[in-house]
Amino acid sequence: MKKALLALNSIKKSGVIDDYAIGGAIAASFYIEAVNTEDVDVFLFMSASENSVLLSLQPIYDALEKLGGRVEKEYIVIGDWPIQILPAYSPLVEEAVKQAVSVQYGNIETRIFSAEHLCAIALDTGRMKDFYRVASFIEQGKVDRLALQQLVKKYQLENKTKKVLNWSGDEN
Amino acid sequence: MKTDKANAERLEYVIKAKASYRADARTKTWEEKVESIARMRRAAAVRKHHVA
Repeated sequence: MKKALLALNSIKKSGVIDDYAIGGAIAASFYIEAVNTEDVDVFLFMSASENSVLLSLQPIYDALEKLGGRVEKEYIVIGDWPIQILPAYSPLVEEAVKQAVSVQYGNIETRIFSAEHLCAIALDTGRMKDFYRVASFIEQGKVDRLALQQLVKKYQLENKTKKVLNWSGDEN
Repeated sequence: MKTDKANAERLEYVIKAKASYRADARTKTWEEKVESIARMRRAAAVRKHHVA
């Protein structure tokens, strides 16, 4: 993982990308228990002037390949980890990238989605494992319920909360 | 048809496993948890290889 983070920080420093933030299960494991995942989801904010996602991602793949990455299917593998580079695909994800928090992985600085944005995106994605993830954040007291409620309202996710078993339960 | 005893044992196992995961979440660093995910990935790849 360290190799991947160093490579991402390197392309940020050299200006290939403005910034990035890690989401998905890897980011969630910062806050709650680890669950298995195939890859590291790395989200980028793409400027509105980009005409094509494919064209705009190419320089990023090229830069990461120069740093030892190899392209495999939709991933670029750095060290042992497949990295999936994803443009922020919705206003919610754009906000998550912009408001990501800086954390340390060992001695390496990186950025991950806030607990509240991880939960809101999980609600939006809406698979069973996503609802379970939100329930885990709530059960372990790792999410600001008020801030999450505001995101739910802002992004009209109210119906999705019905699938989270402990959504209406007592707050710890 | 599963017996009540088997269900009770399964429930006990799930409760213990869940408690273990929660303890890991409290005590392990992020780096340690990511290492744990890496081990899960490797184990899953081995299982997939054996099935194939």
